[in-house]
Amino acid sequence: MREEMQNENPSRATASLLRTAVALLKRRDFAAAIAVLTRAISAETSNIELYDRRALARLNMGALEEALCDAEKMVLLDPANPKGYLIAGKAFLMMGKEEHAHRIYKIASRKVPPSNPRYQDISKMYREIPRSISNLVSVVSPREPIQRFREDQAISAKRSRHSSMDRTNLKPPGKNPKGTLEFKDLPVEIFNAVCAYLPLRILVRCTGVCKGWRTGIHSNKLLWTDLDFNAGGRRVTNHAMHLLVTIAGTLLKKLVLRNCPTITNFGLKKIAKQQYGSLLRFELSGNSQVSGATFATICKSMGPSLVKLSLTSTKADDATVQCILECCRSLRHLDLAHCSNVTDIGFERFANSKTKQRFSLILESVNLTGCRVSDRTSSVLAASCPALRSLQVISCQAITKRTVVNLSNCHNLEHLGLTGSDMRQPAGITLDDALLALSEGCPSLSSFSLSSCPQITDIGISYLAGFCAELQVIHLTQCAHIGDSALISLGKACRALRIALFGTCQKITDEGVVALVEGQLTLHRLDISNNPNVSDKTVRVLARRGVAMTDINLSYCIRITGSAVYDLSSKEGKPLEILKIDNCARIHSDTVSLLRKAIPTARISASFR
Amino acid sequence: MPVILQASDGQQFPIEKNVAERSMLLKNMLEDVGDAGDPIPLPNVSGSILKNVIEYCEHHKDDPHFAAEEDKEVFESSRKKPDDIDEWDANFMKAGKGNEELFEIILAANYLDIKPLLDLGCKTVANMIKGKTPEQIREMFNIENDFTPEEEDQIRRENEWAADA
Repeated sequence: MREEMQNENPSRATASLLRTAVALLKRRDFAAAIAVLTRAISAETSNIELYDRRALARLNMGALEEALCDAEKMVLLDPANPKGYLIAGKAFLMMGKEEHAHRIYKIASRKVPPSNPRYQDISKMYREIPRSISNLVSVVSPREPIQRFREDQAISAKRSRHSSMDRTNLKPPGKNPKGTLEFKDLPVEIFNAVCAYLPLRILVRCTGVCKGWRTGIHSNKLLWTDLDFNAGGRRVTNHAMHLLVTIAGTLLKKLVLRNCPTITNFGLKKIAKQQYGSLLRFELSGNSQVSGATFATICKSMGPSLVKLSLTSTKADDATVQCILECCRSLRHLDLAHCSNVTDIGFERFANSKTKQRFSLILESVNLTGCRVSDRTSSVLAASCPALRSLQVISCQAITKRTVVNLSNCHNLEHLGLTGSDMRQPAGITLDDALLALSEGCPSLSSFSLSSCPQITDIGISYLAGFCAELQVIHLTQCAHIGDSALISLGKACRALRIALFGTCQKITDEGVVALVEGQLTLHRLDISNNPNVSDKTVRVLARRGVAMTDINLSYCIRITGSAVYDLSSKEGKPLEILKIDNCARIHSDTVSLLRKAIPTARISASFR
Repeated sequence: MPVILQASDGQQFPIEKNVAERSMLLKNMLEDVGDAGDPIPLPNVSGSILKNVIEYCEHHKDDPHFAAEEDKEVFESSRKKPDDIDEWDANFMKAGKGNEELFEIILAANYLDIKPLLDLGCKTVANMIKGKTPEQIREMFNIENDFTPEEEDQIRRENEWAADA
């Protein structure tokens, strides 16, 4: 009911959220204010007031980078509005980047009309800041009138050749005794600019060069906001993680620990003691040491600002899930693939809790591949995530046709992965009927996978094709009852198809494939491997009409001959990149060599058993 | 009417106005005072470096001015990618330039406020650092190792994850 009212009158709902936020700001409860405003913004994305208040809260929490994002958005929404510039200027001043602040105020003084009541504030700041930085002949050019220009030149000519700003971290300016210019003679701003181009691993290595570099790099927090320990893997220790997270502090935006099995409860609890108001993304995978309870703790301290959370192949459990759903109110992407301790319980506890009534989830994508969840979870998600765009429940054996029906309420659904679910249950409805409901409810569906499912028929696929014209990816490998009419209906109705995987669908013949390929201008990947019917006719149509086709799998297609396959070397449109013709008994190895010569850039797999 | 730049060693370079305007310092100056035809002294830049900088500006004289992007760009503060250097620029930076010349160009770009050249210089240095061990970096830039053996050992352990496997 509440949701409906909001949809009817977004501005009224926004006004009430804004009032709440203002009250929270007065109480200096900045975290809560941010959560409320984030919610309001997700409903009304172009209201400058909302960004302004959130930026204010973020400035107060020291989340300067985030405040800058808000300021940028405000400026984009209305370049003549002074508020965004004032926030940005403040943020840069707080970061100690006077020159950036100065530039912001300069831009503002051009863009904001002088009639605006706050124009005075801007010109005041603009006048005051250059004075403090003009004392230091800085990287920022003196964009002052010519007199100043000449004066500066006279001064700087008298000084050493290369003067610079704060050099406390690096050695003093000027040439060394040998009279040559060296790296250490570069001003600190240039050192920082170089460091901004270094990936995390290289940056960390650079801290071991000398003391000057170490302090210089460590003292620039902005270099450490994106912590992606990519490729560190098992060598990433608690200590290394703690060290860098502490440097970034409240500015931490991204913490990615992919395949890091050595991180423990102790390490995560240690970093969870701090608040991270700007953390947008947290990822820890391939870890069996951290317990579900610790993840729950982490979600409480890092949760409110998180947009993306990924805990694949970990011991995340029901307590973790409940905490995620209750604490992470900005969360849009949740990935819990291969967390076998995750069941329905966490989702159901959330559905029955009071939190749910206050906040609707803004989750857009959920991956529960390999979790022990059932239709009860999909029903909670369908009811509480109106924005759900992607759901993956691959290899969830307790997922049945009920989930297909549940999801027909998610009208924004675009990606659905159901491979490995049990479509025999329940007996009361047919899969075709369930797919009809899904297709009608989710017209934006663009990718659908349900491999190894003997229950799916041509009728079910014709519903998908009929209602979901934007379908791009269809993955139905090893579906025994899929035949030509499924492919004919897809070919006719879905004009944006990019990937079609029908390996081991042995009812399919030339007729279906030809109908699918003809008139498809976008199809670039096709798998019709292990098919006893498909003949040279299909291959010739692929060569002539498959203009976008770059990846073809024809392995185990025993009727296909070498002469037809050779035609693919001179195919129309894009040249082939990948061709699989393993165990095609009628293709001679000489043909394969000729093919390899004709299209040397393609990867051709042609083994014989 | 050409703009005349005078390097620290007295060498003079007459260049087209739109070439000079790649430098925001010169552009603002020319806007503020107009062009009186007098040589503009650049006491921070030597003749040989100025020649290089002018070569860069000549090549890029018709690029769209980044001033329009300025608003967006000042917001940028997170990590950037160093590998998107176009071919001419890469050759310009390579063509027989040693470290010292590279640093001189960076300082000149900085002083003259030619943002794309400054970025190019920083990217080039970043690419030189990539793929090297701390020892190799010290050697390349003639930096003294001022860590004690104990400190160095501790840092090596701390940074172990970032070393090449």
